[in-house]
Amino acid sequence: MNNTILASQPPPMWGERTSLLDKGLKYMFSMDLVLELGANGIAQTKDGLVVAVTAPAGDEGEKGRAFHVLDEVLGRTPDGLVCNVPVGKVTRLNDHIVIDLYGTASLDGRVSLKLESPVSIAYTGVATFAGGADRALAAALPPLKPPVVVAQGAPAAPAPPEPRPAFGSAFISMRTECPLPKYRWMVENQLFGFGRVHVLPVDAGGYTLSFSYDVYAAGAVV
Amino acid sequence: MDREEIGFVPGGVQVTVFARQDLSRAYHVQRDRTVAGLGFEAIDGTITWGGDWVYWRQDDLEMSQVRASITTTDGAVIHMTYEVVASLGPGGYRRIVSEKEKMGKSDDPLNWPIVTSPRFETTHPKYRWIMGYQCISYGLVQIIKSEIRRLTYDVYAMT
Repeated sequence: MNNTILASQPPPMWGERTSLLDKGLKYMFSMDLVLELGANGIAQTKDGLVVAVTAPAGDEGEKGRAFHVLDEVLGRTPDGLVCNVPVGKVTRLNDHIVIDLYGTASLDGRVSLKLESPVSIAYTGVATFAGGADRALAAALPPLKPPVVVAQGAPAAPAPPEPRPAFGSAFISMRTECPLPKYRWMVENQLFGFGRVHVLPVDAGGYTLSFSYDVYAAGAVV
Repeated sequence: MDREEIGFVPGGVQVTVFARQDLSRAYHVQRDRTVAGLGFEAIDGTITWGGDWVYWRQDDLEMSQVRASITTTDGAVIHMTYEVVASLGPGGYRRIVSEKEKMGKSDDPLNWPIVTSPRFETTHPKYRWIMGYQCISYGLVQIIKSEIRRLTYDVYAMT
């Protein structure tokens, strides 16, 4: 936010209000994140099903990226501040997903972006699947099991059900830390990501979770 | 609001602010019984407990962690948690910690806009719907003599 908020504003109606406060959301950039879930990444705990996912090994570009959908290099926050759009690759990424007893999938992830200097993003949020995350994922994806060595001559185990892709929505709030003044707006502003998640089985076993977010800055409109 | 000063800590100043019991309310501004667009039961109740763990950083940022409990008029208890990141403006940290130039006056309080990202938890089946949403809230904080006096928000569900 900029210095304009230091000016005193007309007093709001304190107590129980009958009208809404000013609000604004501005599109700033987008972020694609790719995560891999292996057989050892799921555990049942007292909080529900805990899913630990990390970025796939390989080139940085395969883990995700930050970009602007219209390739703009400058954006504007709701309070009018012109700012640089972060464009770069994801270097590190992990997410700790808890699917609770009511089927809500809570996200808690960390992203490192490679810009002129490293940018660290911490996010929390919710992924929603129609019918509940637990049921939707259980219906679409067979449970993962560690590979079992079958003795020669033993009857083959029945083939597991064919996995199907699962789609859902994801909503996150983000906190950023970055030393560069150029991206200071990301540290000072509350950012929200509106996104989609696509869960796909991979041939080698396990699943790929592809998240794609449009990131907005929220604030009072000036 | 009641204030408890922790004081100077590495990197800034820590203050805890507590809501005055049963003086804070959760309500729908249009007094609707359901949430428009979602069809769920709207939340109406009293904030029975709430605290804001405020950390003013030397780089003119406020990082807060808020915990609050809402008791609805029909007896359900809903826990609310969120974090706040807010800019104090250039030199804001110095203004807060110094004795001079305090922010806001009794006759001209500073109304500071803030944005937060609350999540809610409850076991009550009527309000369980809210656990499935990440929310955005737009609020105003009233500051008098560099102290948070009261705050108000509108909470939106991200869909």
